[in-house]
Amino acid sequence: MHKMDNLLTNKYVILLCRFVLGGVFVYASIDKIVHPEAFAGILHNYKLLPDYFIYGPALYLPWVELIAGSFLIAGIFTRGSSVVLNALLIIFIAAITINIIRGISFDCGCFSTSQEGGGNVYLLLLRDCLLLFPGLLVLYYYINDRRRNENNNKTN
Amino acid sequence: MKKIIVECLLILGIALAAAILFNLISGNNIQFIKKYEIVEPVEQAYNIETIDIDIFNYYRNRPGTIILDARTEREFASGHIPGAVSFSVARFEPMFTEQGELLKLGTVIVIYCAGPDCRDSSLLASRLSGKGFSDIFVFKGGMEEWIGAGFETAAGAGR
Repeated sequence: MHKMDNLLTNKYVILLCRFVLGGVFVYASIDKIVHPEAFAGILHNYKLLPDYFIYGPALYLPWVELIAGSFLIAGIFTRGSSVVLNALLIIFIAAITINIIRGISFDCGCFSTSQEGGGNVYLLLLRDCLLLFPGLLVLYYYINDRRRNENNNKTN
Repeated sequence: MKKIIVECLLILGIALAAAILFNLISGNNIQFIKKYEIVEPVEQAYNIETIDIDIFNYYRNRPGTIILDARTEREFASGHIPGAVSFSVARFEPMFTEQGELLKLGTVIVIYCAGPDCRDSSLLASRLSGKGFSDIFVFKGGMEEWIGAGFETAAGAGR
């Protein structure tokens, strides 16, 4: 158990988690930034947002992914960027789950805006759930890291 | 906690500024708040023809026409155009394995989905085009127009 704790708080493991999570989001954002119209079509097909609230998220969300992902990799606002990325993952998981329950087919729009015709939605869900793990690990590490620093400052 | 919230707001603010700036300089100039209008890049890209209900009925009564319902199997089971075959675009590969031989028997393939706003029929048409099928038409009005015109529907998971 102690070994597991050590592994989860190992700075190299955390660094790897940051690069994986940040890299996934940066990569996922590029095609959507370049093709906002196509991404708007994908968002529309999720049938979760009103017609007047499609273009805004289509233009904005990829930039949130890019900025938060880049910041996480670069170590800028690490806690804030991991909170934002975890929140995005929870939103994606909720959106996919709702559409699975409603039986609506949709394009993922995860990494590209090309219409791939859905794919296995359960695998999409699993992938997003798995990505939550490094996200929460990074967040946990940096919140505790700050507490440790504060405690060290007090004792000094 | 307060500092995390400030960091989050800064990230969201920077992203918003970048999105606005990029939208302006990229020449996209899409309004952030505007009613979404369907564009049909799939039909344009693959040169897929859309047909109205009259032409759809013509093809439907013509031997050799295969009608595909691109919606989910659950939607298909709750009501579909008589004679249509379920071919959920969300499960393209398994469906293609299942129905591929049937598609080769037809001379014309006509695809529909829920209504004029859905894209499943166009997506399915583009994917079938990619598999080498030609003479594919999309009945754009779909189930919505079919029911609206007062035509009968069939229920059940079968053909």
